[in-house]
Amino acid sequence: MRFDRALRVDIPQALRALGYGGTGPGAQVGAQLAQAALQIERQADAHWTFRPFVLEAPPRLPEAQLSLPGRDIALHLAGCGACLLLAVTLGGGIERHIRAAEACDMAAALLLDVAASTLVEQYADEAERLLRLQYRGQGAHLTGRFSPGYGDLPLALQGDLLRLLNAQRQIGLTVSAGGILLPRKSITALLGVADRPVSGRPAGCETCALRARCADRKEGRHCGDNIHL
Amino acid sequence: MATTSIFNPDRFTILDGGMGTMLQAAGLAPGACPEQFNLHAPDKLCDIQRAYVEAGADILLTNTFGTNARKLQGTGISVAQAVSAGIACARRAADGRALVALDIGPLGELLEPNGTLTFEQAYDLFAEVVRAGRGADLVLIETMADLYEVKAAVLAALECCDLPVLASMTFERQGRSFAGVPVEGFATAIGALPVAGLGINCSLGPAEVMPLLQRLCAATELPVFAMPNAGLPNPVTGAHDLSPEAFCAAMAPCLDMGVAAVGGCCGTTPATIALLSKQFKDKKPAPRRPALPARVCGSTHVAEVSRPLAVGERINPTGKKRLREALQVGDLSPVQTLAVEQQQAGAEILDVNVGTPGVDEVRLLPRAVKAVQAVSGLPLQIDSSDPAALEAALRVCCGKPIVNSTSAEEGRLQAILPLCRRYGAAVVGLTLDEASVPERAEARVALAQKIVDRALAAGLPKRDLYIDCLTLSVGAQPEAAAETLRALRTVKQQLGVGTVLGVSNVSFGLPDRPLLNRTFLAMALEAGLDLAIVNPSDEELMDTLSAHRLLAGHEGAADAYVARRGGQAARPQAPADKTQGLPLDLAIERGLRAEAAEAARALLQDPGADPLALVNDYLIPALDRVGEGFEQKTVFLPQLLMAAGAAQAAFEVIRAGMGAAGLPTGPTVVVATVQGDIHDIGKNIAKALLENYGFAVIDLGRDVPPEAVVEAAEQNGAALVGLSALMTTTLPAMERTIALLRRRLPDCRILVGGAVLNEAYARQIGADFFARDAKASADYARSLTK
Repeated sequence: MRFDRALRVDIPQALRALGYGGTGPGAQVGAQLAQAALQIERQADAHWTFRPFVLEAPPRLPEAQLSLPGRDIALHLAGCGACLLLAVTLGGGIERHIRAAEACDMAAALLLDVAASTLVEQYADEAERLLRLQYRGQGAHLTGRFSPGYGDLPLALQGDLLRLLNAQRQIGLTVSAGGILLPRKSITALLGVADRPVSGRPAGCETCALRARCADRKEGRHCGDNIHL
Repeated sequence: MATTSIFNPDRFTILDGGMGTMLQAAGLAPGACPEQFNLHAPDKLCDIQRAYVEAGADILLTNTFGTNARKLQGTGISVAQAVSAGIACARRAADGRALVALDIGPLGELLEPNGTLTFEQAYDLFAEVVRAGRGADLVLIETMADLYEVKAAVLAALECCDLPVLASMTFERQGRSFAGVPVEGFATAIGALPVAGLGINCSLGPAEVMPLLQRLCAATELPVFAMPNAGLPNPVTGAHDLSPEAFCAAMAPCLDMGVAAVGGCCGTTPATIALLSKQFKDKKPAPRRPALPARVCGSTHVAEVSRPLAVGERINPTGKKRLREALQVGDLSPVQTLAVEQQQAGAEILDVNVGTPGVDEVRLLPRAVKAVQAVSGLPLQIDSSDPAALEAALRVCCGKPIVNSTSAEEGRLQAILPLCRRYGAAVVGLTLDEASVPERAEARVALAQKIVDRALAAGLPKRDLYIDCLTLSVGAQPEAAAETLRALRTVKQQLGVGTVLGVSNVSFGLPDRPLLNRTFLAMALEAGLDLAIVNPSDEELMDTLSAHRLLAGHEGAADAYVARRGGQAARPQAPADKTQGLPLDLAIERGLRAEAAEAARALLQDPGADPLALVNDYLIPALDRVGEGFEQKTVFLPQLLMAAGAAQAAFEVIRAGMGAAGLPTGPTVVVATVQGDIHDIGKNIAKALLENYGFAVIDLGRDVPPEAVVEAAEQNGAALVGLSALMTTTLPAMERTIALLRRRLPDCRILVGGAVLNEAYARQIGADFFARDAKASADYARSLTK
């Protein structure tokens, strides 16, 4: 389904993702980013879909006969009797737009890419907000989002999540043989549903598949802090 | 291939309804493979299908929507098993009362350029299904969102069996698919292939589908069918919201729209089809004779030739040394740049020509078509004198292109026209024969008549023919332009076909060519020119086109003209000098492209200027200063890239000023994103910086197989190969590429980059250097040259 309201790119967040923390971006970068954000907002065709499943422990969706492997997702969903599968995408239109920019102006392409990455996170936040609202009405509480690739939850799970969501038909979202969500500016996630407030447990670095070779971790940063290119 | 109609013109054909929900009711777990029913529960499947026959369905779809080697991987079921068991079930259920359609759905993975699945792989996957399904009565391709994927499926079906082929896409409310394909694009591109009908299915309920069906009916002469969902799904329950009664009520407009067949998709049941059958079966479909305009299309853009259009001519190596050199080493990035620039400048169709000595056009032209499609959704005009190259390019072209060209020569007509019919392309016919270009207009018109007759006989519709009366230089023959225009006018008036001209030939050898070109354009437009092959970067010429459209009263032309020229004085003779005094190095550091180019131009005007010294004294130091700032985190990536862009702009000016000698180029570096990975922004950033420092960068693009990397490095004597990967899942491909490089080219250095890498891991997989960012890539490459 479509979102009822169109979101604007969170420019300060996009600037942080580009590395501009304390220092301002300067007039030129600021103006170009604003323009890139506008183009992404125009090109984005955001859709989302979700589906609730009964959850057993250790985490498993019995209706779908699917186990959720790893320690981190078990911790995240602890105490939840159900779980929501969520998928959000900005659609394929922006992909060609970014590629076209790459052919002529890499700075513009970078800004478009970062604006799109920022916007898809915002739409995922929006989907989460809508779900939280809906479930709160039923007296249920949700954990935060947890995506394949976080901690030790394997990327290989993407295919199963998309199949269960019928995501290609519903929102045009697929996964490549290499585990890449396509269109690229897309997010899949799991959220736990419980009858009491739950926070979930976001994955840290301890169980991350990239633990040994992550440059961010060495420098004391977390991959959530910036956007990789 | 067969085009016999499977729809009865005297009464509606009834298609069947949803399968997924029925199977789930029969015990299929969510997310499980539906084809297991074909083999392990054929009776249950047969019961469902029999219910559809009893409800009145004339055509049953086999339970093979997800049947292809990729989706069946790991299920223990082969394509041949699923298809033959699926057909057997449907046959048994039909029991002679219904036709059996081999059902083919999307592959479940996006094709290039958005995904990693190539067109050829997609074709092979579909072909395997079609070959296994020859026992069906027809092939029905459905729920497609990507024009490229439908084309792969339709070609596979047409070429691998003799059954009639139907194709159906799924659209969003606005009439575009998830991949951005408009209804008219589907009708234009797939309707030009020898298929037996076009349809719309899934996604929406009948009420939302009606306006889209109307558009489809207006855009094709082929039979049209409709299989909407039973309304919209409830995400929590998965149920659709329309009852059979409500569904059928909303389908009523199909009765007199000219639709030939109706059925249902997700959420519809035998009860729905029974009601639908009662409502439609004895009725006669309304006759439909749409007046189709001439149309061509790309992957997302449809161009209607109801007003003159600009065809961008710049993707052509003739007279362009750098493009020629890039094509000779297989580097298509300049082709992509030209495509984007021309689209931004207002081109509505892009001519693609890569013919130059030392190039294997049969290999390169399809690659060029794919490269352009990756960055532009515009229709293409595929330009080659080699029929084999044209065919290779037509196969992989997404949309409905124009073939440029045939002549009236017998051999050409025989080679080119069947290709156009087979691949659904429009065609340019040059008014020349074995002898030459006739001088007199009458003789050219006679040749045009011959081409038109032959094209019609070959099965091409008249609206797909464009005659080129050929522009010759008025410098050589003073009456040349007048004669061309006379021929053009006669062709338009007497033959009633489309017309095309390469405009700029007219001024060859004369001063102020742009003036002659745009004046000739205005004259040709008035004589009836439809497609003007021009350089869209010539703004005044494009102004002339825009003005002509306004004066000729074309729809929307006034708004377009005002948008283009409103609030502007006549174009200034010389660009205003805003940069006064801004030195080259400062312009680069600030990332100001236009200013940097201007400053370089000013410096070169000094008679004693040494272009190489400009590079070494201004460009490199400026880039170094920006680079230092980047390392100290006072400058960030966007500024680094803006500086790189400005330096490149200055570099182009300097290079142009060097004349034939050219700037000495640095060592060759081959860059690629590894197989299976499509993240290439990081690789492209590194490339921009390497080019700044004078390296000859050969960019192989994304998703590049190890063999292709080695081959390019070998052929071009690369001193360094740069590889990028952004996924843990694609690192093994990087490792394989490195291993192959080490074996075949032990002296070549290898640098790797990407967020999932670090120094230790890079060493472990055998790379020489891990570049933590693009700046580090450039620094490493420079260190090798010292």
